Amino acid sequence: MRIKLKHFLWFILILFVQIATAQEGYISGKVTDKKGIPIPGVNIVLKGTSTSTQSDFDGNFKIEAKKGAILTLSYLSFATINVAASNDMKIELVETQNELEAVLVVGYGTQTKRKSTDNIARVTAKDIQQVPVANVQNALVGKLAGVQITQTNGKVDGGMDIRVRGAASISAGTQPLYVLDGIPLITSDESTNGAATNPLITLSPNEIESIDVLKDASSAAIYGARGANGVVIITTKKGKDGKGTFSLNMSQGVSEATHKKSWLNTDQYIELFTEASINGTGDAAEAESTFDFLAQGTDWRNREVNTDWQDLAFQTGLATDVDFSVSGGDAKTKYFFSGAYNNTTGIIDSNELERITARSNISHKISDNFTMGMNLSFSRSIIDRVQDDNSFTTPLQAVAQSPLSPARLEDGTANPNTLYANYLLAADNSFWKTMMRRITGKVFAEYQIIPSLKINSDFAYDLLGQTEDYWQGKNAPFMATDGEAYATSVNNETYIWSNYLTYDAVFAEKHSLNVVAGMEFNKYTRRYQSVTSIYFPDDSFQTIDGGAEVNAGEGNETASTFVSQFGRLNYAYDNKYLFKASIRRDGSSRFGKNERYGTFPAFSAGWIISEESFLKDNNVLSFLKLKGSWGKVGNAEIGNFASRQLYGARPYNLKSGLSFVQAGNDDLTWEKSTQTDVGIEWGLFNKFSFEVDYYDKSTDGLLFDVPKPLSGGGPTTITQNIGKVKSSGFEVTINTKNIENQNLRWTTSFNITTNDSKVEEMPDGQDIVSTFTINRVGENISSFYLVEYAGVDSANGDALYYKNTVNADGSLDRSTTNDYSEAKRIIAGNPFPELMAGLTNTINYKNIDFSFTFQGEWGASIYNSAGKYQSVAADYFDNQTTDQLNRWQNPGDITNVPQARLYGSNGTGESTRFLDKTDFVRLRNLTIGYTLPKTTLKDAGISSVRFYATGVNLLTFTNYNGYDPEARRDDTGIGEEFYSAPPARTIALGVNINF
Amino acid sequence: MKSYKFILFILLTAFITSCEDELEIEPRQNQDSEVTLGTETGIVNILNGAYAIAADADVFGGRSLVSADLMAQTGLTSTTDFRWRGSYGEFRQMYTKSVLVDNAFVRQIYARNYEIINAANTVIENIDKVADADKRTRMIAEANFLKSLAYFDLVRFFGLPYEAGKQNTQLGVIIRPNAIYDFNADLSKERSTVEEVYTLIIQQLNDAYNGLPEENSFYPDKYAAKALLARVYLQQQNYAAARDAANEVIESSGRALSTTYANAFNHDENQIEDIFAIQITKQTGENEIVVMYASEGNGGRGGDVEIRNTYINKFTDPNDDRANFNYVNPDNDRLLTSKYTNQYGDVGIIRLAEMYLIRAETNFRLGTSVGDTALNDINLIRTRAHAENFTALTLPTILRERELELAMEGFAIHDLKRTKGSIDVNADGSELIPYDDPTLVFPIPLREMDANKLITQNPGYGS
Repeated sequence: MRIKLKHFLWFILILFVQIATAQEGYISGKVTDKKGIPIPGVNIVLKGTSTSTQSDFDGNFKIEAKKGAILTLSYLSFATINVAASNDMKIELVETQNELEAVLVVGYGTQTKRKSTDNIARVTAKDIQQVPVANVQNALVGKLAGVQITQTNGKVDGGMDIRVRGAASISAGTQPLYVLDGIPLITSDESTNGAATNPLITLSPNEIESIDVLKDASSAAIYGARGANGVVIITTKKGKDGKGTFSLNMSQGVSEATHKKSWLNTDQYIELFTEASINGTGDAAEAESTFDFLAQGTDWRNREVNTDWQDLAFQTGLATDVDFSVSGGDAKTKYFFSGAYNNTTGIIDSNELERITARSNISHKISDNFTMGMNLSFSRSIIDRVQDDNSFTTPLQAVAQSPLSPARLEDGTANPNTLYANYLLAADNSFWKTMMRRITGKVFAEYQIIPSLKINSDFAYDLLGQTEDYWQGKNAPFMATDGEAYATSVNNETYIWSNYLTYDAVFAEKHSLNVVAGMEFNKYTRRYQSVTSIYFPDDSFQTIDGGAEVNAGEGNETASTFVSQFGRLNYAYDNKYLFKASIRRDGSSRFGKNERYGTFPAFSAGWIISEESFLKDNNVLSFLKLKGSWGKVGNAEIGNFASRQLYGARPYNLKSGLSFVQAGNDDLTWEKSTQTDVGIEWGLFNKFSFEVDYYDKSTDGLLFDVPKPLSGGGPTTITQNIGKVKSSGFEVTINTKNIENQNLRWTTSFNITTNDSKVEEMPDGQDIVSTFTINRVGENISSFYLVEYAGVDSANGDALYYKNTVNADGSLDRSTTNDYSEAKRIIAGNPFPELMAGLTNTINYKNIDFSFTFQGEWGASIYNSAGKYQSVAADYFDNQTTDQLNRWQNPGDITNVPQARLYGSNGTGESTRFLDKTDFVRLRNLTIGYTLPKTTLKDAGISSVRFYATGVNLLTFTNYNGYDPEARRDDTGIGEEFYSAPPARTIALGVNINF
Repeated sequence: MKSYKFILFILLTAFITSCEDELEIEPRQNQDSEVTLGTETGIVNILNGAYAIAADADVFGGRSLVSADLMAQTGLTSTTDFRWRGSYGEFRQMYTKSVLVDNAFVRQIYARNYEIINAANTVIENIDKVADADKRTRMIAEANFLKSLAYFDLVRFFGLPYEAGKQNTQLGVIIRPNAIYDFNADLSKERSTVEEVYTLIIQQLNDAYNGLPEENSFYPDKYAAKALLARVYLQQQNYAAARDAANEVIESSGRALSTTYANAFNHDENQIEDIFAIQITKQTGENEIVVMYASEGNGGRGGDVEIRNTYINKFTDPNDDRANFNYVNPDNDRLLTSKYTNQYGDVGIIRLAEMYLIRAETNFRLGTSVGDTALNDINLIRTRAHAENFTALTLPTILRERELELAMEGFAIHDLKRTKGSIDVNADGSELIPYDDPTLVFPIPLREMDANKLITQNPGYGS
């Protein structure tokens, strides 16, 4: 139906052109959607002039135009159309949202989804706006097939992990390339406190028009050596022809942790540790003397103090969002301005983000064939940070403290005599402030040489400046120098110059051709400095100048360049047979002289079967397309001088020294990923659309930090091109329009992705083992590799492990042992999900809009590397999780928790005891809105007012025992939890006003 | 139309050509090894870099010393001399004799010592870049000294004890006779025997002694090599050689005991008693021993290692300065040693008092009095500490004197092994951990086991 409608519109257009007369006057009409519902606010421009108007609340408009003149109608999420003017026009606009006519941004150009042979996932502004999260990436969760998005943990500044179709690499970067309006963004994590920051936290969701994720080689190969992990193309909003609009959005939310763990209270602590002391040391004296110390003079025997340290570490978060935008334009000039303010107080004590962003996008048509413009944005984000997860003074490590210890002394100061340094001492006497400043902009020009040929030239600049100020007062933990101040400053700059020609033509009506050819130069530089000073007069001096002695400083610079040429050809015959080829040649300073250039080709083809005569009028199968692609992309994310054998400064006693810091490899080259994609798209009754893709990406010549024997006495790893990994799976996307009528509109979008990421080849078939993970041929990438816990010997309460030694016949010895050293490690799980799904429902009923998104992940596990302290039946004085009360006590007891033995190391070995499956389903987002009836606003000059309530992470269904299936440690490790903060559950209320 | 294309073509070509020069970028903080290894400055700096590695917290910056003391403790509060109270599981494993193959501190002791060895080998093999012959000799000697320091710790920690009068064919550690430059190669290798490692150490130390000058600023001089040699011979129970080496240091090195016991510690620069110390400044090196032993106010973590009365009770004279050379941390009431209270102070490795103790013990064992009598030497040490002098000696008294004088300076486990003692866990003989028990030997780190196809693990450890 939709396809026919398009033809119908073309037909009308041609008809009107033919009967056009030179009659002057006003044209009036009405704009509706396909269901006949009026669309207000549609921009209607008389083509080639500055005359414009907007449709009113009932979709009616009136414009000064001659009959037969061409009117251009445009409205967000609807296809822009040109129609010839006539009297009493009835114009239907076709929605583009998730539809075939949607325009995909493909890098150096655009293409409609209908004619695309690529695999690109897309979300637009309305999918991501108003989700109460502080960063753009978090708003995308569950909405893109094949894209896994996880924030490391619940700190507001936390790093993000995005995997497009599983991992294509093991030790080179796995994160996609981000391209904002054609500018490859700086994504370096510049945190120096051990935990990553998210460099894209500087972006405000309100200025984003759309996000396109290029997933397959056919689409990503145009980004060549940087495309192997996928490309995220962010397009910011632009002004449109017509009257200026002003819109304002305000919201306020509260948040709390999605989940807390259960810890021993004083009663339970004393019970368990007394028992453990008797079992482990012979009597209760050891425990009691420690209780005396922990209690600090309070009467622990009468349970005087019962501190809930977890409660202290968490707080109620707040999220405030205010943003506005102005946009408009005429035939020559288009403008968009926006500003946004976000203030997010985290759910962890002392963690806060405050961000201001602004943007202006302006373009001007200087002459008929010459357009210039500039996009410019700046942002300033101040983050109050806490220490990384592996620091005693990070708030969540407070859970290790004993409930016997008072948190504060009577005078209100933090208790300095706790088992571990009291994080409150740090909270009271130190701060870590990070400020990110970002300026991203480009000037661009487009010159139409002849109607079918244009040249674009863009010069872009991206600056990410980050400063950190870490101050510790006299009473901060571990302070022996009367205070310390540490300040860092780093500037990351990229400039990019790209020039490309685009040729667009149709021959003999049926052959349409689009060719792009160009080149790009990209230079990245980074300059870092830091300084530390100590011995301060008092705590009111908090900057470097206050210190008596500057005792440490650093300064360094690095750079990299890319010089690239690229070309792309799209050919379509009769809108049925589609063919595309692209190639990019990249040169980079990162690689050795002999391997400096790489070439990345891609080919794809598609067949729109529903355009064939035998299907053209089929009402059931409204659309059918087959497509396939093959291509090569590269991964260059291995550090700037990875191929060089290097010595670095290592001074001794204030005299210069050098030490061997990097082992060179002259043969180091690009990691090449070969990707194949076959897909089918079909639509039924114009109501349901389906897309199924099978993908296979094999990465060869893997860039790998191969561990070398420590006894070599040099760098402990060397970067080599070894091995091969393969990531494959299916992606299914289903969009349905369940109900569509005058009052009710209900749509559903569902996506599901499988991913199987396997190690295919290793040098000499050798395993590469990291702390808790292994890469072994035939197994999942970075599989957990652990000794297998076998529960408790019911006779004596000893922790047992499966031996898993190899028997003579090749089978594993499944007998158990209480000697940890006797047990062998086995492959125990996958840190990454094997199945992911998202389900979004959107319902509009009269003035009410309602939408919700469910997200699920299956197949991943998390290893709690703090388990050996937290859940080991009182092995040491760390407070324990309450499940440890199920310890073995008497012969015959059947339990999974060994006998409590203080210092007994009974079950403390790293084993599957601390590994847990994270399968979960989560109500990721729910939004309900109410738009005031238009009649009430008409006189106030306001075009619409909408009130809404929204929430994120509202419900989680999981059997996972840790904090949260999406809380992972932020300092090191793959798939580990270590006192890691769970994400926030936020509920916000807000209002949108459009003038 | 044609002219457009032509102009564009010219522009693009010019642009691409000029940009490709931009692909040549040199690192700013690091230097290509070809440059480093090709100049005298480079080689001199690599040698200094080797000292810097030695000064790392992982090894002689502190953890090697702390490990040696914790390994000798009983692991029980009621019987231990020094109680581990810190939160580092790595040290707790040593304290309770349950070291795991993935113990990170053990791994780093192993890795850093080999870094020292490789750096030293690199200096020796590229010494031709150094113009001055005397400087060449001295640098080779210093490199040999550093290698010996590293191998000696490695063989003592990772091999079963050396036993005199036996074929010491038990596995020691890997010997790397040459510098390794090419890390693309397979570096797998099996361990050499303990005997072979000791032979190498002695040969290197003799070379070092011959090549080092009488005085060498804060770097090792002739007598530092000789003092280390005395320590090595003692570990081998080669008492005569140990005695003669110690005697030469006492007689010829120009060192003297400091006037008070307290003066022997917490130095910013080498003092009269220091034979060799790892230099720490606020800018370079990290005094990890202070971190472990000191109160927060003194730059530590509050006292991860606490002195127990079991140790204090070993002093027969309550006025012995050394019995009182400690303080109570007001924050947590832990009794802490005063030996380590200078956060940026040097870490002493060899001081003269040890030489007197070696000479006394070996003279006593051999029934000789080279240099002086054992009694005089012991009383010299005691007098300095204002402790009552002895009138007669027994071997146990001499060994006890070492504990009183050198406690927490990284001797305990090595002394226990060479004297074939045992750890009396409950202090009643009911549970003894003998000197050659596998739990008193570190495991070969898992990380080495995983990457080295030829190496053998120590008994009692899995993978």
